[in-house]
Amino acid sequence: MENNHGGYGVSLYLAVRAIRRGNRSTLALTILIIALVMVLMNFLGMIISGVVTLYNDQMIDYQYGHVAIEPRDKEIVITDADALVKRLKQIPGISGVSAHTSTAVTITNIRNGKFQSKSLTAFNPEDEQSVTKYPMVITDGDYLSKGDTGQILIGTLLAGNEDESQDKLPSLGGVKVGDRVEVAYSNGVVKTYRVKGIYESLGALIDSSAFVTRNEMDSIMHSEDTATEILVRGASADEAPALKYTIMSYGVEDKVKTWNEKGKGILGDAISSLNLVKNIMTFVSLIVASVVVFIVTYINIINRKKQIGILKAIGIRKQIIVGSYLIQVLFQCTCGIVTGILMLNGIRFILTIQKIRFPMGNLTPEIEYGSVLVSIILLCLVSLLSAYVPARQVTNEEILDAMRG
Amino acid sequence: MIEVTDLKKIYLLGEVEVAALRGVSLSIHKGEFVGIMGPSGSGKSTLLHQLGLLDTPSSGKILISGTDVSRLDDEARTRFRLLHLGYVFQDYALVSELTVKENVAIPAIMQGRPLDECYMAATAVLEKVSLLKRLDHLVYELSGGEQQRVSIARALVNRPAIVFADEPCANLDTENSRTVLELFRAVNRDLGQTVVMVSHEPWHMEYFDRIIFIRDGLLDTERMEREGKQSR
Ligand SMILES: Nc1ncnc2c1ncn2[C@@H]1O[C@H](COP(=O)(O)OP(=O)(O)OP(=O)(O)O)[C@@H](O)[C@H]1O
Ligand SMILES: [Mg+2]
Repeated sequence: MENNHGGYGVSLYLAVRAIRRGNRSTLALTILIIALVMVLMNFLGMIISGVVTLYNDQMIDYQYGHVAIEPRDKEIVITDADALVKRLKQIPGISGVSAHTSTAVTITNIRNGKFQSKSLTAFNPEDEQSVTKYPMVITDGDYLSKGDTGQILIGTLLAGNEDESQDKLPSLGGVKVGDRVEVAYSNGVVKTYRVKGIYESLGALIDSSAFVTRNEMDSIMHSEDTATEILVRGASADEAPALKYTIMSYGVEDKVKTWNEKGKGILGDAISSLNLVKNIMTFVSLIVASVVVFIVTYINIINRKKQIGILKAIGIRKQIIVGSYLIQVLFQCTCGIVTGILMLNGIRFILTIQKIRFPMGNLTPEIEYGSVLVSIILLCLVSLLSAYVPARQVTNEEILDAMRG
Repeated sequence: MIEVTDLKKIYLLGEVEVAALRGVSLSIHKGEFVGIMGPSGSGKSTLLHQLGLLDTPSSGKILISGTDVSRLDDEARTRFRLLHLGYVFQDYALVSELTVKENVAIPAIMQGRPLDECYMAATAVLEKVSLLKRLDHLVYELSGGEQQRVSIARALVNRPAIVFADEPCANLDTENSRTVLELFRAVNRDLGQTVVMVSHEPWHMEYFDRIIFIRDGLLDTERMEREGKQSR
């Protein structure tokens, strides 16, 4: 019996009773603080990953597909585009291929004379359907169909409002389905089109573009059998790199880029800046969290000085007393973390319903469980440390000093 | 069993030195029931703290069962207290988050005995101090006298070789005081436990085998001789 006395079972024994019978409101407050810290540490990350996903989805669904093929170096167009499209369609794992031809134009609203310089893109409506989501976001009128000539599809922001003050970007001042617009091409041809449909993807850049069919563009620009870009859709965004190599392995000599490679542009920079902000924020909230958790735990333990003195006086080893406080703190931490995660989910739910508008569309916040895990580990470490230091300090005090409280 | 040589305890209150013990030498034998008496502030609690390894002396030496306890480190003293000593505190010193039964059982639990055995032992001592009805109460629900008896039960649960009690009857009525004194006498006689008890009630004297009087931090030898003659 001499050697066997007083294992850490006693720590647990004491901790369980202290939690069960200790001060409820202090416990609740501590748990709440830890929960709020969890929220603080992960909130911005949640928004940022929502932005990233939104941005990525927009790029894939409206701009690049999963993989985009560009003209090879020093070329302006992909030649033999029809054959390439056909070949690509036969590659297993590819669910859609659509060739785009873009050219700079000036579009004028005939009714009021307002004009905008834009890039006009031509696609084959059927092919496009299998790659992008334009057909699904027509808000007025109709999507283009195969043989359409003299018809144009216009983004809602480019169409704009008659009342200019409502416009978010320079527009044509309120173009509606059935209206006529004049398109001036770079080769001097000017042609009048009927607006067939208006689409709204919620992406600012996307919604200030315009589209015609390839037949239409070919008749004016004589761009038959060429493309400025070919979009390819595969199984999923994650598999884009694999798809890229599959395409390359089929001997495609034009430039093949994944959506991710294409997207490392202006917004990509913005996102890495946001990520930096997020990391700074996490760091700051970790410090705030540490200080708060430390103070709460510290005061808590200093208040229990007398009890600690008593435990020591009746022959309970220091390590066991410290152990019991560590267990208590871990318990608080666990409750706080669980509450925090519930709160984050609650916030995400509210923000999903409430819809936050971003230039790329409505944001759906996403909880990043990777960084949640990091904050869990950090919080636990900080809590343990902030219990360990004062518990250690008090247990090292003279018994009678401690017992005096 | 206990050998104290020239024990001094000086408290430093800022610049001022307060000598609570000014050189006490005494010995207590195994199996004795010793009373420590003296006026308030004379150093009785201070002496008992020293003997009970709750505090370290400013100078002097304490031998318990041959161990020079004044040399033990903190860890060893804690272990020594757990294994060999029981202590009834003047202010009870109960653990507020534990029930009566758990408070009494905790020294036994610390020795690594099975939980139900500890609870059984605790219940048995609590019965002796008439607290069977209070087993599952939390200590703040108890009266001062009841808390004092819990503290006594806790000191006895491990059947330590030496029991120190600092005015264990201070808050008890005569009847309960008698119960406690009888209990100490019983464990002293039947289990051979040494009992050292601080008291200032003259009528307690009849229970003690021997009385150590202190006054102003020193043994009151004069009084010890006088009382010794009277009892003879
Ligand atoms: N921590 C301390 N710091 C300073 N002085 C102290 C301390 N503890 C005790 N003293 C002083 O030491 C002296 C002896 O105190 P002690 O508590 O031993 O007296 P006592 O005989 O137990 O008295 P009582 O019968 O009232 O309990 C007192 O003068 C007291 O003021
Ligand atoms: Mg005293």
